[in-house]
Amino acid sequence: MTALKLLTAALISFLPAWLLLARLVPRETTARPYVIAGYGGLIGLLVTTLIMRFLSLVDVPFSLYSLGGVALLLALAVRFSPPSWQPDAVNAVPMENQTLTRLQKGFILICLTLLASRLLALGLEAGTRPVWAWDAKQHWTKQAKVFFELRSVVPYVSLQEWLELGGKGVYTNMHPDYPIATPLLQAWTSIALGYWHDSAVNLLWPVMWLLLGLVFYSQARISGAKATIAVGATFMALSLPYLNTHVALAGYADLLMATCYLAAVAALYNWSQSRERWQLILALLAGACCLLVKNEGFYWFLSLFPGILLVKAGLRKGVLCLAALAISLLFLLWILPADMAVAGHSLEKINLGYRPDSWLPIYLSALVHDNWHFLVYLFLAALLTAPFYGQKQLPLAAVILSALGLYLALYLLTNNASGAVRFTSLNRVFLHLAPAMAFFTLTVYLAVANRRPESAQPLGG
Amino acid sequence: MRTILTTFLLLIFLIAKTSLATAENWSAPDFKIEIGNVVSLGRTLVLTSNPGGQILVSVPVQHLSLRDNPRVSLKFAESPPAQIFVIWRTDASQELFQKGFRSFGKSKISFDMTGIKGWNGKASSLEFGFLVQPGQQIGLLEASVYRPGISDRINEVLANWLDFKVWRPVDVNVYTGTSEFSVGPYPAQIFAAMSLALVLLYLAMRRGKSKLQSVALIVFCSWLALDSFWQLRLWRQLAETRVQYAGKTSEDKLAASEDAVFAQFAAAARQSITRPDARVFIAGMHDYQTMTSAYYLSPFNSYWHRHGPELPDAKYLQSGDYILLLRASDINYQPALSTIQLDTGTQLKVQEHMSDRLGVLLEVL
Repeated sequence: MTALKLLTAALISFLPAWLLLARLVPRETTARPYVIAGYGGLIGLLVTTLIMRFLSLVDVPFSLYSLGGVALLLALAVRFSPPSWQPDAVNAVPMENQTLTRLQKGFILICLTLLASRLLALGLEAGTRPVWAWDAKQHWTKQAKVFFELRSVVPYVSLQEWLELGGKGVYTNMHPDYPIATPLLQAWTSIALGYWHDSAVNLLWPVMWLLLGLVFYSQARISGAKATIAVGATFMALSLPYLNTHVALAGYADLLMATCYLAAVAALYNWSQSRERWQLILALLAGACCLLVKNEGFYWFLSLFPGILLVKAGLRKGVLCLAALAISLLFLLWILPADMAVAGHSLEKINLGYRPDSWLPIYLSALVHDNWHFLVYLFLAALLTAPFYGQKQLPLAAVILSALGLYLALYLLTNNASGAVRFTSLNRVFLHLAPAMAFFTLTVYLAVANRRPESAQPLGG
Repeated sequence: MRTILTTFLLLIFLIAKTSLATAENWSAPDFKIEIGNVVSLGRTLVLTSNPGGQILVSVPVQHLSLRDNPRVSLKFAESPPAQIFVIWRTDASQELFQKGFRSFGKSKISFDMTGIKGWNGKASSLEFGFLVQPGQQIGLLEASVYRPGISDRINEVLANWLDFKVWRPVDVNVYTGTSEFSVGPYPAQIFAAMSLALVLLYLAMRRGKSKLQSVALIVFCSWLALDSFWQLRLWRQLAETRVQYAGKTSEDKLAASEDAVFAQFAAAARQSITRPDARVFIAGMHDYQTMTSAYYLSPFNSYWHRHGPELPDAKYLQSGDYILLLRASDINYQPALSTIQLDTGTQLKVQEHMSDRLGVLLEVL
């Protein structure tokens, strides 16, 4: 019965998005079912949180029926939407008709077995253990319990505001400005069950892991990877120890953010290659989802735009525009009021200044410790190799480098440096970027493997 | 090609040559009991501690070079003592040196004495001290002092990588791949270097005929080998987690968890709070205690100021508010007078609703 309730909840979340993507993704697309399952699942989860906010706005309590009703309406709206919504399939990548050798089949089987083993280990761990991690208890799951109990979203305010208001109609915690998607999803799990269960609320994290894998695999296939390469690379991305830890010790929002950012970056890359509009839509949708997950999502969303600019304006114009934007940004930092908050951070609060002490923890975390196996070494090799294999990797490189630049700025120039020195938030924020970095590494490998003479092709237009 | 292979083999030979092990070993008959009593002596020396929980055994040493033999190893028959001490004198001085270690429940333990004060020159005496419960028995099998060879070093590295500890709070922030945070070598670096070496060897061997797919396969296999340590760790953890929680209800899981006392404390407090819209202030000086209590008290509308004053100014505390006051707190609670004194010195009248060894639930009057 529990499984049935959870499956119903999953269906309510996923179905409208799956139907939408079935319309959006051209039929001829390689790995189409995986694209629909992965992106549909991810967008479906985040849309569920928007439905919950909407229900609270109109004073309808959360229940399987209320959420199911809205989901059904959305599904019907998508199903009977005008045919003109369907994309132009002219540019669609034709589905490959590959025959695999016995060796290749064996390799895929090994990878799938390893992935199944990992999912089993992580799924059982998360589903058996009650909420355990610090931030989950301090913040996310604590908020989820309130949303579940009240069957509604309630406003969270700062401690001082809560005191001033006498706590009437408002709640408080240490981070009232954090987005509420993660607690809403945990509350949704419990609403589906009908009671609060300290382990069942963790089950979303193995689902996120699965969605990350589907997104990675499907976009890898679209970018030209053979099934063997795509499944091998997906295994590598899904086996990153730190990423796995965030599934096993479920409760943090960072894995969801990592999945959203990977989905945005991977779709953006394939849009830059094929210019298919639906990929850009997916990239922007997934990028917008980042905004719903954590405050950092705003910056990761912004990091997509250098890539879009390079594709749209061409290399020369794009670089000039980026340089102009960078100068404008510096100017903006100079003139911006110190107390003006952007995505939860103000200049006053972050106390800009160089913090060289962060270099050592950044180096240790990325290149010495086993958080990422040796992904960062492969990524650096890819980054050095990319310029020699044409310009097509440059938009994606610009996106990733922008995000990494922001990451380094966060720990080297702001008071978040304490999170690096004490090894607290350092890897959590890196987790947002790691799967996208793995995808970039794969695309460079594919470029080298195919050795396309791309340098002669113009990037823009 | 031949030159590459010759160089490679020569390198291996040189490493092996310089890494040959030397050792001084002692088995049960060699040990002399200084403190404690012998229960039996066979292949295993079974000893009981004195009333102070101490056992001390000495071994014969004759000008044993300490600097050349930086490892000390002990092997026990069953459960080892919790604390082990290596005690020695050298020819150079009469100073008594001592270094303590924890066994962490391992029956075979080795300690690296490199850099430890006094571990140089020639040893004139060597003793091993064990701290156990008074009257507890231990079975000592053998001891050795040695210079690690290649196989010892490999074993040490593998033991460092394979050592298992159940989840600790820090694990959600960092994973080093080693037993101790700052003790390398770290597996990610070693496997990255190994991958690079294998790829270079492959490229050198195949020259112009190399395939990128083969390079990818080498990298993938290295990744898989590295990942096997992590996969093993996950399975071992899962076995522990299942023993602790499998088949239990949500409430039973909390009772079985490390947070059991906090969950029970908060549950008792929840039952004592009659109004569902009551405001609850969590006060205490320990982050973990207050945070965990606030979590298990949820969904009550609670106030917890991490790193801030335990309670706000008195003007914000109203009659009917609850205070979950943990024992570890700077707030002065006087049960006899039914008052609490805030940081500012203000006194408030309160009524006690519930008391536990962790804290009390008070209502502001």
